[in-house]
Amino acid sequence: MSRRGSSQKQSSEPSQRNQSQKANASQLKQPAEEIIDLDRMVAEVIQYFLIMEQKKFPVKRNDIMKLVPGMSAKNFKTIIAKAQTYLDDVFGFLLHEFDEKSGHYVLLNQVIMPENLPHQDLSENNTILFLTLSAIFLSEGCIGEDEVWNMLDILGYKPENHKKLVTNDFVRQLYINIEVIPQSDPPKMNFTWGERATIEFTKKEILAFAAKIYGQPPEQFGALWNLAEKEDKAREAN
Amino acid sequence: MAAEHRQSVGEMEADARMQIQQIIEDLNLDNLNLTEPGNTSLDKKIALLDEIFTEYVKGGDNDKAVDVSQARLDMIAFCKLATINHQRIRRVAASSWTFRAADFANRIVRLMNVEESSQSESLNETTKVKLDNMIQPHFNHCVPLKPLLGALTFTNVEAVRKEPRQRQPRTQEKVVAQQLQPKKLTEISEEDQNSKVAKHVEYIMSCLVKEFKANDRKPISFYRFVMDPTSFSNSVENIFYVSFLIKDGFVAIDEDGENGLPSLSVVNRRHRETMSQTSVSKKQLILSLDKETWQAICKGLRLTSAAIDPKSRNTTFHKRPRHE
Repeated sequence: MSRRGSSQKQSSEPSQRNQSQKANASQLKQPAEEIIDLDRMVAEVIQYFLIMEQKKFPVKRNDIMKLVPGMSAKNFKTIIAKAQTYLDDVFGFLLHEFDEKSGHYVLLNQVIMPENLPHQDLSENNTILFLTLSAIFLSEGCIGEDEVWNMLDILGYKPENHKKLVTNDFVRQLYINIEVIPQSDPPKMNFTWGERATIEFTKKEILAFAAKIYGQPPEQFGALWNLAEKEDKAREAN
Repeated sequence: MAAEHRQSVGEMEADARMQIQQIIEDLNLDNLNLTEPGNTSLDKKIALLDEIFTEYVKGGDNDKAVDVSQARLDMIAFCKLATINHQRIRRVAASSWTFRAADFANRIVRLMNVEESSQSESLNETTKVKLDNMIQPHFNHCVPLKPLLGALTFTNVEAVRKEPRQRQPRTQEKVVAQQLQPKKLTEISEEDQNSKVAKHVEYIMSCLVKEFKANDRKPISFYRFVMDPTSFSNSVENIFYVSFLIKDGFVAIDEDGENGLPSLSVVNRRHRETMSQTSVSKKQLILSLDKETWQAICKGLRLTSAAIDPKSRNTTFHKRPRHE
């Protein structure tokens, strides 16, 4: 009886040992698999950000969740935080999330080019964007579309060729906001600064450009100069 | 009664004169602030003077004339008020400025055309480029990513049909495993030659040969050749393409005797064919490069331009070698 009991005990012990060994092995496997998956997801998110940045379109949270398999609300913050670190360390890009439209991300270049080196990003679209933003700010924050088309026409940028760029691309890139004038027939739009323009450009640099055009110091722009100073102080405080 | 009345009138006149004197002193002391366009204290001073005069007239006889000294002080106060108001109007005119988009555009056209000494009413291609250059420093966009192996494309790629492979019957003889070697650039077929990576590697090789010849066939500094001070991603790509050339024996990497830094030299075709693969691949360079190291290298070597021009990759024109 005792032998059987002992044999029974002996047979149950290895099986229990096997079970516990299997449990340990599976526990060891799971964290490693999770770590690998996290790194893969971070890499995919980084690549998605870099590709979307070529077109300057903001990246939406929902798009990231759909694109990267395995991404969930639980691990989203961790993955974004890791991606932010890699983007900063490797590429020198800051990942910025807009407060107003939560879930929209853009990349901001932190590496400032030295003045003696030539710029590679010379393009007509940048000029049109800067001129439009200048016109909006110098009109105290809001300008009608007719004035903008007239201005571009005088400068040699035909409105029919660039209307889509201003009303579609720049709006999608969050540089410009459009407000339809109520009860206007045909419908007319007003342009205002977008969230991205507020981050990438300062009022003082717009005034510095206007000062060159008007041939007067920036301080003589009155209320606009006061606005620019206020914004400067607010940025320093942040 | 009359005496008392006269005494009260006299006191009233004295009070009025003191108040007017006070107003004049306030105007002298606070002159600068009162000229501010938004300051309403001036209006209050005028109202106060009116009030003093009205009270003085009410308090006395109906036919009573204003005291001479009081009238004199009143005039001085009003002159002062008029001067300050005049200055205020000047400041208001200086601070007001109206923006007109058409005027803004015309000024830009005039400014750009002044240097070209042209009287055109619009911008031409040359002046547009000048305006682009003027505005460009305000932009600090992220450098676009160029996927090294073309992993992601936005265009539809047509699927190539694979030809069905005919299976050969198994032989009973033992098949000796052949020694495999990585695919060499010399054995690249026409299809591969047209691929982007092969094109870039060919271009890099041509740049390196030019630099090598310009340097009297002496080894070139590795970092001077691959580093692009304007783009970190271009520098990484250049290192990647040069690694292909080193692996396949077209380029040799060595240590510079003077400072221990890596240097590149072009391997002679005859020499390459006679040397065995193992003897070529003995030397290797392992490096890690981050943004800060890249900046430090560019600064230390005082690089102002890239030896490999990324824009010329798609054209047949090559950049002039820097070693002249």
